[in-house]
Amino acid sequence: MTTDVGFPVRTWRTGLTDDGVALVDEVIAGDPRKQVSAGLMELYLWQVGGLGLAAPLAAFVYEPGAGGFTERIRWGAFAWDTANLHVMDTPSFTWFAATRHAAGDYQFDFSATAPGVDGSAQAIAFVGGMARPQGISGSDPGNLRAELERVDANSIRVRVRAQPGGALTECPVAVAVW
Amino acid sequence: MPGFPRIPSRSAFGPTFQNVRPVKDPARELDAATMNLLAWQVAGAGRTVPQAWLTYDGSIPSMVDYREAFSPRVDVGIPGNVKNGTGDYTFTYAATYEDENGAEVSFAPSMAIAAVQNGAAGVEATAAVSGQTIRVRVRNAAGTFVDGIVLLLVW
Repeated sequence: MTTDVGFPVRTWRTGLTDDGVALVDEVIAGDPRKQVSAGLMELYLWQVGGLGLAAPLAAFVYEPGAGGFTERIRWGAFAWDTANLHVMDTPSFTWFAATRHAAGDYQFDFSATAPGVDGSAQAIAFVGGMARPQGISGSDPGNLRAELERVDANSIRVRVRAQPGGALTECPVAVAVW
Repeated sequence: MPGFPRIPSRSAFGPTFQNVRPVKDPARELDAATMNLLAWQVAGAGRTVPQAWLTYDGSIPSMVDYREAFSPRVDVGIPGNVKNGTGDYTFTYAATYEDENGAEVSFAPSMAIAAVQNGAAGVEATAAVSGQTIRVRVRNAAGTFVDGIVLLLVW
C-alpha cells in the first residue's frame, strides 16, 4: 500500500504507488477522452512527484508592526495547508508565529508538525530559504538587504539592513523556504 | 474552483477517494491512497510554487525568458516590461488570465523575489508589488542604481 504521508514531508515518485510500482494498462485504452491510460497516469505521477520535491514548503510576506507598518502576514502559502485554513493579516496562526525582536530583526517559528494527507502529525523540516525586502503598495524599500540569518527545521530568522552590513532597518520581507 | 491562476484547495481535486474493493494488483489498479496523495500533493505544491517567473536583462534591455503556471496550454505572451531607468524595471501582468476551462480568472501578484544573476559583489535587487505591477530595483552596495540580469519569482 501507499505509505507516504505527503506535505509537509517530501514525496518521491516511488512513494506515490505501492513500492513505487509502475502502472500498466489492464486493457488498451481506446478512447483517451474516456479512459486514462497507465502511461498518462505515470506522467501525472512523475510530475506530481517532481513538484513534491521541488516546491517551496512555505512562502509568505511579513509586515512588521513598526516603522509605519502593521504587523501581519500580508500573504502566505504553506504546502501542507491544502484546505487553505491559514488566515491572512495576522502575525500568527496554528502552525506559525512571527516575532519582531527589534527593527529589521524578525523570527518566524513554525510548529514541529503539521497534518499530512491522512491527518496524522508529520514533521516540518526546513532545509533552506531566501528572503528579500519587499516594497508594498509599490513603495521603494530602498537600498536594503535581507539576510536569512538562520534556517532551522522549524525556525527562520531574517535581518534587514540598510546596505550590506548596515543598520537594522524596518521593512516588510518576502520569504520562501524549502 | 478552477486551477491556476487561482490556487485550488484539496477539495477541488475531488472527495477523499475510497477503494471499491481491496487492490489486488497495484500495477493495474489505482489505489485510492495514491489518488488521495496525488490530490494532496497537487494542492500543496500549487500553493507554494511561484505562479510566474521571468529573467530580464536590464542592460539591453530585453526579456530573456518567462513562464507562468497559468499558461500550460498556450503562451500568454511576454509580461509587460519597461525600463524606467538604470537598474529600475517595471513588469506588468494582465488583470485576468484563462483557467483550464477558458474562463477569465483575476490575477494579482502577492509576493515577489528578485535575484541578480550577474551582479558584482554587493549588487542586490528588491521588488515592490502593487496591483498588477512589480517594480524591481537593482542597486550596488553604495546604493547606486546599476543594470543587471534579474530573475524574478512571482507568487
